[in-house]
Formats: sequence, structure tokens, C-alpha cells
Amino acid sequence: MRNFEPVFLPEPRNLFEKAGRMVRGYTMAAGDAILITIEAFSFGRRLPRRRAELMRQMYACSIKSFFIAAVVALCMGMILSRQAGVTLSRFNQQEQVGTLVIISLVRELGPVMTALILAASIGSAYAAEIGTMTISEEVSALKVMSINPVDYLVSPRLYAVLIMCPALTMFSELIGAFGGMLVAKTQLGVSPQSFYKNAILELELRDVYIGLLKSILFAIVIVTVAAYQGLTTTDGAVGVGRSTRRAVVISFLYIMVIGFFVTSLFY
Amino acid sequence: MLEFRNITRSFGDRVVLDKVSFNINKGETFVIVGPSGTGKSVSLRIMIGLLTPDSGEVLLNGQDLIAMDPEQRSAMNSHFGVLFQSGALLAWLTVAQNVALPLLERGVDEDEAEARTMEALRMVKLEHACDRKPSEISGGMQKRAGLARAIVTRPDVILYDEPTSGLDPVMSRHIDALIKELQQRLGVTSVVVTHDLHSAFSIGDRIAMLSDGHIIAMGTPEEFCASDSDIVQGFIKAQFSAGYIRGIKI
Repeated sequence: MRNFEPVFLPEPRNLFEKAGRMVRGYTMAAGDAILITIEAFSFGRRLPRRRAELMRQMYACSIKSFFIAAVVALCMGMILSRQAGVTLSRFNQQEQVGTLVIISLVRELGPVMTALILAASIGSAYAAEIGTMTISEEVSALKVMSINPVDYLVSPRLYAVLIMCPALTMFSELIGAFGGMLVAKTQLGVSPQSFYKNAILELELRDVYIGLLKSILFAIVIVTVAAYQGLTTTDGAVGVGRSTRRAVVISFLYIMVIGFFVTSLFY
Repeated sequence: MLEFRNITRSFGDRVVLDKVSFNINKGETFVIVGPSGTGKSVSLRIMIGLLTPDSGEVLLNGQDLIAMDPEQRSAMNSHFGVLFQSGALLAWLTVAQNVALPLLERGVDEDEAEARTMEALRMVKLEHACDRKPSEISGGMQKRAGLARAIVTRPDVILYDEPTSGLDPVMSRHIDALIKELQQRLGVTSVVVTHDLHSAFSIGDRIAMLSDGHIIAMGTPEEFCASDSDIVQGFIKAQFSAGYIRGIKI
């Protein structure tokens, strides 16, 4: 059970020292965040005791994000279908729109968009909640009661998002495909049967697995960043706002960067 | 029982505690007073392991808490109960669930945890609010709930961080009476950090004053009042107009 005590250093004397401090700060933050993640995973053995909290977090992660994820996925599928359909129809290839929509959704857009939605809704909520608990001494109270905050607060959230992020991704992909099929039928004259046939023809099981791998990595990033920002919150209400904003911005950046590297690794 | 030995802690260039030493005896109520920002809460946070001193030792029954690894330190926390300034109750749990939390986390079975929770709530006269959430009760009730949580594990030492801050005078005196009553009933050692001298004189067996990182006065309330330090006298006079405290002329 570690304390995140602020480090006080004298003012940097020049630009090099300032840059060095920054690199040191980011490296230490990354190290702490990784340690929190490892610790949170290791407390998975205590999940049966935390099932009420796990269910509460899964509910918050799924039901409360369900509507926004569905709307975004539907619109995304419809836009993809429309944009691809317009171009493909110039070459009389509009029948291929199903392939394009489903490949884009399963390989990239489904995991990325779902993760961005969860980072904005759940990640920000976690950072604000844990941050408020930190400044109002609730986290300190847990430590004094010999309750590890990572075990009590972070671990159930990590496992909840780990379960719900891939599930929500699959659900988004289905809704997105439905949106794409709807536009293909009504605006491009492509039958649902043809859309489905072309979509399935090109889609490999490997694409689904890689998409799910991405969503698992994104889930870890969302909870790790939010938990770290929350647990290191200082400076009262202003600090909570800062932690929340940082949690969203940093998660967004990592989601895009990790998305790129996983794609580069497998395709 | 609990000893601070040459504790130094600084934040950047600012030295908040400078080789501070004191000893708290078993069963006594030791009050640390001083103006805001003099290191009272820092001392308390060092005692419970939430802050690490730059140097020095904190001994509990002869064992150095600072030298322990985090797991040993966490286990030693079972000796402490803490009432935080804000109560620090978890918002999504009811009062009873908050009080029962440390017991359930230590593996106490549910029936026993419930019985001990209700006993603790009765001691702080809060059994009627056991099913309410912290947001549904007043600040004074939240402090009493925090106190019930601090005593439910039957600790050896109870630490109070500004127990009367933010409360009206009537509720403040009520909390003082409660601290005194609990100390007499449970026989625990109490450490109180406060800037409220009314409270300090009413509950303290010994009072120490922190100023500029040093203990500038320490002793029984009578000895404290008789201190020749200008800072101590100024602090007393700022809170009391001329008159008597516990029969002592000031």
C-alpha cells in the first residue's frame, strides 16, 4: 500500500534541467501507473468478495454507456456506408459496401470509438470519483483501516471495464453494421442479404480477435489512467477538475497510439 | 506507548516539523494545538503512515513504524482508529455499512460485525441513523459516525484530526464530551489535533503546542496555561477573553 506523496524540488536552473525534470516526472508517473495496474490485477483473487462492487461498476459501465454507444455506432455505420457507397457506386461496386463497413468497424472503428466513449464517460467519472475521495480523505481512511485502495477501488473497476469494454465493442459493431445495412438498403439499393454475404465473405475470425485484443488493451488504459489521476489528486476541487481532464486527454492519446501499434503489428 | 523521536519533515524549502519529539503515555489524552499550517495534521499523518518523515522515528510500544515495510506498516494500523476532519465516510455506503467496513475487511463474520457496529453506533448515539447515507445526515452526525468507525475495531490509540472544526459550539462541546466519555469507557490512548483551545482544555490530559516546526510548550493544562512563551499566551488570549479556564486564571 503505497502513498503518493508530492515530490518537492528546487526551481530548475536552466532549460535542460527543466526538460530533465519533465522526463523524470512522466517516467515516474508511468511507473506508478503500471504498478497500480499490476496490483489491481493481482487483487483479482479477491473479486468474489467484491462482487457487489463489481456488479455496480459493470452496471455503470454497460447500461449507462449503452445508449450513447448505440447512437454513435449506428451513426458511424450509416456514415461509413454512405461515404463508401457513394464512391463504390461510381465504379458500380456498391455491393462491396458491406465488406468495407464491417472490416472498418471490426478492425478499427468499433474498438476505438467504444474506448473513446468509455474514456469520456467512465474514465472521467472514475478519475473524478477517486479524486474526490482522495481530497476528502476517504482514500486515507481506507489506508488507515488497512484496506488497500487499489484493491477496494481500482480492482473492481478494472475487471468491470475489462469485461464490459469488449462486450460493448461487439455490441457497437453489430449496431454499426445494422446502420450500414440500413443505408445500403435505402440509399444504395443493396439488399441486406448481399450486404451480409459480402461482409461475412471478407471478415476473418482473426479480425474479431484482434479487435477484441485492442478493446482489452484500451480497457486497461482507461482504468489505469483514471485511477492514477484520481489517486494522485491534490489541490481540492480544482485538482479534481484537472485530474478528470487529464484522465480523458491522456486516455484518448494512448487509445490512438496503441490502436496504431496493434494495427501495425498484425496487419 | 507512542513516541515521536526527532521527527523532521519538510515540503520543499519549508520545514514543517524540525526534530520534534514527544512521548504519549498509555491511556492519556494528548492534545496537539497550534495555529493553522504549523504541522499538527502532518504529525498525525506521520503517526498513521500517510506521510513519511525525512528523518526520525515513530515508536509504538517500542517498534519503529517508519522502518517497517508497507505491509507490516499496514498491519500495524489495526492499533489505530482515526477520526478524520471531514468524517471521511464512503458516500455510497450507509452509516452502518461504513462502520462495519473495517470489521468485514478483516474477516470478522457478519453477525459479529453487525453486533459490534450497533454497539459502536449506540456509544455515539447514532443507532437511529444507521440506514442513512452520509449525505442525508448533518456534519456533526457524520463526525459521530466517523468516530463509531474509529472505535469499532477496538484500537489501542484513537487519533482525532480537528474533531470540532466546522461544528457549532454546542455540537463541538457535545463531541468533546463524547471523546471524554469514550476515553473513560474504553481506556484508549487518544491523540487530538486541534486549534480549538476550549476543546483542548476540556479533554486533554496534556497539551503540546507546535509553532514554526517546534514544540514550544508541553504539559498539563495548568502547566500549559502557565507557560511563559508569548506565542502560547497570545494563542490562549486570542481564544479566551480574560477570565478562567478550568479554574485557572489567565
